[in-house]
Amino acid sequence: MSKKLAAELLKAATLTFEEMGFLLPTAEVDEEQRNAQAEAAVSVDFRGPFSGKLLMRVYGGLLPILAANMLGEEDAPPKSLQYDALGEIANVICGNVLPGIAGSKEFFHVSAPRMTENIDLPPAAEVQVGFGLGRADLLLFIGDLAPME
Amino acid sequence: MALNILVVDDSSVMRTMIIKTLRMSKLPLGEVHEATNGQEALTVLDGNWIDLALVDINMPVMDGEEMLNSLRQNPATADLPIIIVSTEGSETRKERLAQKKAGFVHKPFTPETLRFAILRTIGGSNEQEAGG
Amino acid sequence: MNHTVGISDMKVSATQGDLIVTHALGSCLGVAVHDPMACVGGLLHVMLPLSTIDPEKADRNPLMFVDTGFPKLLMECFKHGAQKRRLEIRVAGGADSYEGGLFQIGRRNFIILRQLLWKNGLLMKSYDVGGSNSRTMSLEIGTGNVMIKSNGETKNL
Repeated sequence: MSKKLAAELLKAATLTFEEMGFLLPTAEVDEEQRNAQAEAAVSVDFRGPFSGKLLMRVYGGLLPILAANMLGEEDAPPKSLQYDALGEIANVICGNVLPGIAGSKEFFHVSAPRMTENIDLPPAAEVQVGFGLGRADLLLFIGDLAPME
Repeated sequence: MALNILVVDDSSVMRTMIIKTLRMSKLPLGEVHEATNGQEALTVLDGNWIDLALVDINMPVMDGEEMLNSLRQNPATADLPIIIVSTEGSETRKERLAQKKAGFVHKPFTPETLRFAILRTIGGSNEQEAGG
Repeated sequence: MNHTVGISDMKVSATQGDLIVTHALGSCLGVAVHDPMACVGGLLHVMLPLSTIDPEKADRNPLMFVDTGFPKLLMECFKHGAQKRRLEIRVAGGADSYEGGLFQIGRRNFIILRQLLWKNGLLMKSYDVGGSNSRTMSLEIGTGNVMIKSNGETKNL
């Protein structure tokens, strides 16, 4: 697994969660966050000078908080909006990590986010980010994995 | 003068965030229309007077750049103020968008940045009404 | 009249010409709010982002934390006749002592403030945050002018 890819992924994820989700990452993932219950997973495909996929899984009650923060609301929005919010976060992280890897000249097409179960392939990079009681796992896959829509 | 705005993004949450920013900006807002992709947006533009469009790039059916090309080829919309709101990081693509007279706001954005881009795009008397 | 605001402190005034000042804004945030029509304004010097890390401390001094201090500032201004829709909000501080520091308190303070602003439908008029230098911030009641002094330079925010 590439250290540079992981560093770029962490940078894009931290920026997006902070700026859009107003969530402060913890310095490390602690035991409670590591054992937190899985809530949802979303993936986005990208296609350009190289292709691939970004998969994001969230745990520990992060999903409703993230959606409420993005909308500027106190209460958890309906599930459909929570999934929409998750998808948009994944979309923005993906869009921000790609220039860090490919350089600023190349451009990519990023697909609409899809709720996803799992991807049984080794990732090119994987990071975990802790937030309060929850966490987000981000896995970056590089290569032609599946046809884009 | 009330501004009619079109927000084009396949994410409902992102459209809500943009519209919330519009309302917070104390702009003289008229009607606010939404569309989930470029094709839908062109249909909205056909039937409504729009003063400003805020458009994402990555959308299904018709993406933002294709929509922009279509608008600029039509004399009726060749000068429509447009701001692209996108994660797009490619300098090549951003230059192309600028050549097609589109403003640009990078996601993730702060509401202040979006407001500033809107005021810069629509400019003039609307800026004064909005209290700068 | 001049008023000085210390750390984890605030001052609100409805007296035209009053000058409210706070010094040594490092990672702390200085938040100035001003209603030009009501001629009311306040300045908050706040230290840490979230009161959840120490609720007892937050009870004793809510002005220590962004999430409890900023609402206090607003409420006090409203008590003096300020109206939310007229508020001009300016923010300074949030510096971090070194790049990529583990805790990044300054940055975190600003993120939490921005979350509160977003929730409350408020935009900042201007801000000067980040970097590594300490700042002094002042608010003049009536004009609403906010001056920032940092690294030997003074500017109007």
